[in-house]
Amino acid sequence: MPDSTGRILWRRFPVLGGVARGIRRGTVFWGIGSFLFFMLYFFHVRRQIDLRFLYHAGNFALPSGTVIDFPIYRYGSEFLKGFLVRPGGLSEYVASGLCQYYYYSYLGPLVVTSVALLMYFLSHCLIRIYGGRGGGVLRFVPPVLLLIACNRYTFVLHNHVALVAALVGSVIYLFVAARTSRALVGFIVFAVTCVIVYCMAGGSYMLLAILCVSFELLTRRRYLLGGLYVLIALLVPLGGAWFFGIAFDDAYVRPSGLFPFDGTLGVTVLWGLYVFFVLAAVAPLIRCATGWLARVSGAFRPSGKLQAACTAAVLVAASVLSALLTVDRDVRRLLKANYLARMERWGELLEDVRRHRSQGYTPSVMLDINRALFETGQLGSRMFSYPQHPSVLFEIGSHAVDYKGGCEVLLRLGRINEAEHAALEAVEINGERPETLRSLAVIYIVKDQVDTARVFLTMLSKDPIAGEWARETLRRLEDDPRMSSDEQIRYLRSVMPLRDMIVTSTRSTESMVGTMNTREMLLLALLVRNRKNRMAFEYLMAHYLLTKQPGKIACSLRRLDDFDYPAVPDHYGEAVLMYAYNVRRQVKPAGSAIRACTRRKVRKVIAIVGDCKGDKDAISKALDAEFPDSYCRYLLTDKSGGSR
Amino acid sequence: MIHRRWFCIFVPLAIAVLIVLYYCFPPSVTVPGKYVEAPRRPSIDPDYANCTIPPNIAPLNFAIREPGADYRVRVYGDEGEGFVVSSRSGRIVIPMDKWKALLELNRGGDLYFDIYALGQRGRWRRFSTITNSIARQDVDSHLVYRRIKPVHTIYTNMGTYQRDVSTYRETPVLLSDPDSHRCVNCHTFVNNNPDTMCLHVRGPGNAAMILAKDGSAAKIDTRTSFNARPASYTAWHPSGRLAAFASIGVIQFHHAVGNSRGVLDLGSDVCLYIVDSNRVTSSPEIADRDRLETFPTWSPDGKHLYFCSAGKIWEDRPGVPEEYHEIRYDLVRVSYDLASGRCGKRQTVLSAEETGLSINEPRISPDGRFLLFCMARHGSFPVFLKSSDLYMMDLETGRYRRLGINSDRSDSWHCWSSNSRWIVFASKRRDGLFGRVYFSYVDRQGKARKPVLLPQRDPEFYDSFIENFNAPELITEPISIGAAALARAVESSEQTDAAFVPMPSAPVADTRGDKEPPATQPRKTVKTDLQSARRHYRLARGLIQKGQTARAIEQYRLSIESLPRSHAANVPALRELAWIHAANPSEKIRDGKEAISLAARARILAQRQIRLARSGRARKHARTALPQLYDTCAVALAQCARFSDAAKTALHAERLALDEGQIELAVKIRRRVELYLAGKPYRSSRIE
Repeated sequence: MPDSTGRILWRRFPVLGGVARGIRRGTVFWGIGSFLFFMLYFFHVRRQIDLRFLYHAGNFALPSGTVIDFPIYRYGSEFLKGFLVRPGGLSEYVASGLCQYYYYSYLGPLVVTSVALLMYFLSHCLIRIYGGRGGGVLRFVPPVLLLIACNRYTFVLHNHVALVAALVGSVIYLFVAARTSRALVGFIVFAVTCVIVYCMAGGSYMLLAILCVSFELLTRRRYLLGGLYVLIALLVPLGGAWFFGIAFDDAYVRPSGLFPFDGTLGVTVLWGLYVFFVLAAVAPLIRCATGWLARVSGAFRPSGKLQAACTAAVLVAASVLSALLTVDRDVRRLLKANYLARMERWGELLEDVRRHRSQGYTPSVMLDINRALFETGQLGSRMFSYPQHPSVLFEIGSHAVDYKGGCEVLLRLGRINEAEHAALEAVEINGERPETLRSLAVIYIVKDQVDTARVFLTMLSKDPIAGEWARETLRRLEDDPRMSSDEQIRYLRSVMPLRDMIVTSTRSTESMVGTMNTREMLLLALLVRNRKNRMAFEYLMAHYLLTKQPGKIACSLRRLDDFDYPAVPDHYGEAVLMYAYNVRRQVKPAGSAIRACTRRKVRKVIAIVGDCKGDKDAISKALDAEFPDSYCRYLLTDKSGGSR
Repeated sequence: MIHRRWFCIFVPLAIAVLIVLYYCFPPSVTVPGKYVEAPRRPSIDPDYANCTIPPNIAPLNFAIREPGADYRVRVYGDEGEGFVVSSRSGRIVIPMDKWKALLELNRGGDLYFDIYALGQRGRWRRFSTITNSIARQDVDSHLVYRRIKPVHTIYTNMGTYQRDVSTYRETPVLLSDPDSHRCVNCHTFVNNNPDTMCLHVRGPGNAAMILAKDGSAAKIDTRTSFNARPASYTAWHPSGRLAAFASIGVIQFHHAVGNSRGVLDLGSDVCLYIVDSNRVTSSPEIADRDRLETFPTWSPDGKHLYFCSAGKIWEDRPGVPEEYHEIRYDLVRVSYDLASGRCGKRQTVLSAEETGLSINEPRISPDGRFLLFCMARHGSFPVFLKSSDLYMMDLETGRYRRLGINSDRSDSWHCWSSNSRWIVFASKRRDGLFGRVYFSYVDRQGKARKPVLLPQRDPEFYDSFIENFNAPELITEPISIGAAALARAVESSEQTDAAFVPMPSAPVADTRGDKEPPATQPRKTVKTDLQSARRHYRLARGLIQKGQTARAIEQYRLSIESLPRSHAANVPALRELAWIHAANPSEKIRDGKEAISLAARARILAQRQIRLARSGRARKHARTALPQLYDTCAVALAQCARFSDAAKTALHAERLALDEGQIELAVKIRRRVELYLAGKPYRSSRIE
């Protein structure tokens, strides 16, 4: 296997040599098998999980109440310092940095696969040191558990980096201890490793303590030394609590990710990983297990090839099952929608949602759907083919996610101050996320507060992904502080309101643009400022549709002339005809005409209502069957999103 | 083998030792021998040039904003040799020990920075020397401030911190729990001494004052039957036996344009908290129900209580009154006798009428000579107002003047050092959004010198720090009570409720609502003369058609006066008269307030009519008039420049019109809404 250079390397670094020998002693089958396993692992993470969804999720609240809190990373010592003030901070820092690679379709999966490979490698070493023969299929347990955690999208890498740090510390100690009988050397290495690993990995350090203590007690049977190790293991977190100024109970368990145990699969899997390594430390048990396996396999007397095939089959089955069965498809669907919206791939977003429209969507995704409908010119005609709710147009409320999405929509509409409000609230709740900082920079440039914009841009320039954009914008600001040549800035200035008014008053957590009147006023003021603001017009009409004010649609139809609509959009036409029917008055839209098919549809709906004689269930059923995507159905039954 | 092992150990060890030695004893750098003179001051950030600096301040690290590949800065004074700092990036980090020695040696003298930059052609340039003065008097050793992001309504991460002025060490005093959404505010100390201090927490389900004294902390609810709102802006009496505070009902609102945030006190009173007896007291002199009182502060002898006061200029109504920008506070004071616990009559020290501005945050220097305050165009929240500037009043002469240290952005949240020679304030001058702390030396004549930005270890710290420093308070020694003890007090379920006792000299009724009602006027007996009312009404309409509006108004009035106030038949006349007063093109005829009053009266009568209608038909008939009545209200509101209220009312009118099928009216109202949103009132000689 290794050439002469390799041999020299192994000789110089006995750890690597031991590992290489360990791998070499395995058959070629294991080598190829492992390679294939990790190749498939990589492609599964890339294709099925797609870590870009996590990167763009930022701070994403799931319907279950869990919040995906994707870590932030900044270049510079100031950011690092924030992590050094607590045990385990360093592993968090490293994990935060690694997580930024999730932005890239290949590098993110490569990071996760590398962590899995590292765990595979460390479990191999541990099992060997404890007297096993490298663990065979057992080595694949940690990567598979890691994959399950990935599949759940609640994957916080820092817990796993801390675990890896503890394992590396353990392997270093065990390797030294296995090669020396001098207790003093072992003691010094243990004490030093404990302190370093505790600072790096926090509560995860207890795994190191357990592995080392069990090694001394069970394998080496040095009870006095083992007892001393227990004492040190207990004292180190106490020292950490004093040094870092944290609570004593926190010093032992946090931030390992094991507590509080909330029963979710992510935490259970993490527990599984810890339990696996603790079990691995119990060498006699492993030996018994391997002996039992040998006896079992001996009873069957399988040939070498059959044994290898059986093991491979078990491995493949376990991996495939865990890969396929544990993917949280609901979360994936939501995160994918969110990702497509952040990438402004509106057509794909609508297509994806249409495929799963019978599923539930969070308000923030519904907000993105409406944005996608607008961007693709379908808001007035296809809105009720998708799930809708009266407060999902640009609602920003007490919920974290709504602020981010709300900010984007408000900014695009031209409501600069409200977008600023939403973005600053988002910073307070979700932290200094790149997309929010970017929005804030744009907002302050539009408002001609260049000095303020610079603060946000300077902060953003330290972001590994968005930093380039920030640096470029800072350069452009040097040349032209108003950035008048920028198309987006020019557009926003052309639609932003110029006349001040009190938008809303708020007491504590009250929603900002919560009241119907406020939303309507915000949009009308935009149209007063710039009558060609198509988004403001369509959102105003959508607001009327969602809040069931068809009369106001009729009242606003004259504004259609400001835009190049070939005909009155279907939903507006339906609303006008339904209103006219209700008040028994004829309403003539100025300029554009209501399509004949819309008229027929409304006539038929009116006939259905007449036939059903007020029976709401019957009306609902009939409309579900005949006009699942119509506004009439929403108006009469509150239902939207096509047939269910 | 042994040789190799030793090599493996020795080499990394040697490298580590070298690194340690390099950082402990960096190689001495010197200024370049050859250079060309650049006859101008270099651009540095923060702008530490021509400032007066405290002799005990931490090194003023700065960044050189000049192009160059290498930089040298010689820091020196009239005494001592000085030292040289080098940097390739232009970030100048000054060594602490050398800085301290230099400042101590040159106390009362000058401090110089000679800056050299290496140009592209390998030629050094030397800029003009930057000179700063070192004051003789120290600034107090510690600074306590609150750090908070530019939040709007949600508070998750904020905290009060103390900073050692002579180093960069910052430690938390109290951090808010992110899940509690609690505001931590208004930390105050007795005579700049942290042995007795208090701060406040306010949030969902928790509003209390945390009183820390002699190393222990207690949680006190200062809300009583008199003051239902929690305390803020506390000011300790110099004796430490009581503290004055403002009990404020505050509302935050948002602007559509410009600075996004605004704050208004809807009601506020000054009260006193007596520590030993755990009682709250007040009197009408400091808590007038028709006025707003806030920002109390004591004279150093404790014999006078100064505060700000403004009259309420709006009637009670929900939301933010659009006249908020007309409210301006006077500076007033009352005498106070500690022994009897009585306060004297209110005296105006400086009126808003005289200044044309709103006076906020008065603070008197510990030597009693100067009163530092800020003034803004309106209101009582200067930190949100660009127009807020610092002013100084000489209490011996009563003269005041604007300080030369102000910027064109908000300058506020000021305080004095214990020796009266330094002021510290928060200013948004750097970027307009984030408050930063500045020190300014005040000489014996009350002249403030160019302020110094609170130095940080990282010279570029402020370029990307997105938190505000606000409410800076100087203290003479560090706060002894730990953050954990204060946090425990905040979280504690044990809370002492303060009781209210009226102030002895001027008893204040415990329940404010029980005020004696004004003597009622004997009611006029109005005859019901429906025919006469109708006659006058018809006449009025005819006159309107002829364009004789003034005479028509007379007839409308006669019509209205012919019937009792609550008579439903008055509705059309009231509405039309309101319309004329609101929308008539003639300025002489327009009277916005009268129009609002008439329109509101008409609307109330109509709603009453709907409620009392016996038949569904009568009710429906009455309801058809309602959209027009709301529309008239909106027109009247717009005449008073209350455009937001007008737009809201008109939108409601539009909805009612659509409900009644009056689509033509709805379309007309919609056009008017658009006018209001453009900030224009509606004008028409016809009644619509």
